[in-house]
Amino acid sequence: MMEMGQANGDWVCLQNCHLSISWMPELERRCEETDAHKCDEGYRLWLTSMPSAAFPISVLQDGVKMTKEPPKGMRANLKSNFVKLTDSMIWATDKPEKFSKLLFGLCFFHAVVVERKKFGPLGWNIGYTFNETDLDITKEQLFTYVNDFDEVPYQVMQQLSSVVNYGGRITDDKDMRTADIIIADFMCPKILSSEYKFSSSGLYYSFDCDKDNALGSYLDYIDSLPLEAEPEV
Amino acid sequence: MHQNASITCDMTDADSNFEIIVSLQPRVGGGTGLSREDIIYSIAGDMEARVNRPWDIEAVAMQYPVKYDECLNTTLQQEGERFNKLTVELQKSLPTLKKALRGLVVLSAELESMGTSLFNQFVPDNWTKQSYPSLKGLGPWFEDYAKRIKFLNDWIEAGAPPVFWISGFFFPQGFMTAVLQNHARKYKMPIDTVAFSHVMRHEPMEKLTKKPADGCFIDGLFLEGARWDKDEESLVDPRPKELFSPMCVIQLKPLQYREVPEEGLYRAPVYKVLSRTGVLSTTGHSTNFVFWLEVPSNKPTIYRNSLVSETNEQRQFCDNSEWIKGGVALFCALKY
Repeated sequence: MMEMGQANGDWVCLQNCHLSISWMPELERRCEETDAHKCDEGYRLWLTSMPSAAFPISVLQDGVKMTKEPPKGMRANLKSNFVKLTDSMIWATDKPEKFSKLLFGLCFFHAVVVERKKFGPLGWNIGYTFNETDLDITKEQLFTYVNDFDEVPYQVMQQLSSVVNYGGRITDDKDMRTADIIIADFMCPKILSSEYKFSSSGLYYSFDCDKDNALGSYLDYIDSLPLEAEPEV
Repeated sequence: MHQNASITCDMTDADSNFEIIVSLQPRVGGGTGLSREDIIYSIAGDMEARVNRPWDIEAVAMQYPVKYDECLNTTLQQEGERFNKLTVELQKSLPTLKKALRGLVVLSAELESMGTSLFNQFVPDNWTKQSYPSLKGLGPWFEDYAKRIKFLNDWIEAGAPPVFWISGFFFPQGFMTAVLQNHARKYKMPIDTVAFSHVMRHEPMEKLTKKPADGCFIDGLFLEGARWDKDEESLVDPRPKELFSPMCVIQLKPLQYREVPEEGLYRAPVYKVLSRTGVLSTTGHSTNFVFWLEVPSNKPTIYRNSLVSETNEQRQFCDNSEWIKGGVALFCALKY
């Protein structure tokens, strides 16, 4: 494929190089053999990899490097989760007011547990790698439960999120206690009232979104938050 | 969490950066000062001079024999043995390292890394293996070691102190069990029906010159994320920029069929060192977590179900959500 690209001036993308470690020396050889004069001008090689010791250094030195890091800070974290949503997803259930607020609470919870990590042992005893899959599955469950029940089963949702979904990563009983307590603030009947505050300063709160432009109103709100969050939540 | 958490966060970042910088330092320095070997040699020499002889455990056992009504004697013997292991390691490795630096014995990989650690002010690996968990740098670590040795030495020479410095033990859980067992035997109760209640004492340590009738006094804990206010008899928010605050003397008071208080408590985990995580050992004890301390707090109480790890029983505990979120905990030893 690389040869074809070199001849025709195509772009070639090899994904997840960290998964084919045995082939890396071969890649290194091929890259070194590439002669700029013989290739088509349009030829580009894209490589993607997790941080890996096996990735050939010479290839790394020859190329332009880009890194993607998970968003830092409450605001960036919330935003990255909300730009992926659409209005129709927010209105998908038959109880949109409830769902939208709970969804926002859930994303906020996700941001909190991820951000707690930066405090070291003060936040979590062990540095867990909570990621988007935890959030996705909890979102799905929230969707199902809001749709299927007249009253949202808060206790069930609390247990599912803190013990099963996120708790699956938690191995320390003291951290389990912390997670239980945090989720209880976001998965509760109180979040449905528009006055509900997430923290003492009142900066973070649950609000009624715009009926026509739900996503936009959330994004606007997120953008109004401070870039560097205080440790109040 | 409290404002102070930001400071903790920044300090963690700074520490990890400095660690990288130290590891990137060149091994050979220019200039006229002392050479690297000379510095290591003098550090090793200083320490060697300050290491005492290990205790004669048999003599200690004669003086404090295993007795039916004093289980702490066993604790003392066991602690003594553990400290002896560490002392022997110090006594053995320091002179060997000095010889190796002079070229009299082969400088093995282990000695080499020990030298590097001494030079960079870290505790060498071969010592940590025999040591209690500690996050301190070399200097504070050695001071702490000397203080622990003195604590046990005073005990051996002058008898059990009125207030126990809980941080001085290798294995505080063993000490606590011994106190419980003492109580159980004194009143002829089955030990599994006896549990500690925690009484916060107002008196400073110096005023407590006599052992309590039941249980024991312990001292030497530090609070992170909160502060103990003895006038309010409650946990309160820490002062700005005060990351750790000393805890008051606590009386561990054994009670039979103890009823857990219904409100006004925070169940604070007590750890040995700041890292908080521990590995469970085969005895079911964590290498870091020591026990739950019930600290009075005047913030609103919540109730939550929790699994009691010893018995696998589900129980309602009263607790405090604010302190949990703030990550409030107690420690036997700090980093500096």
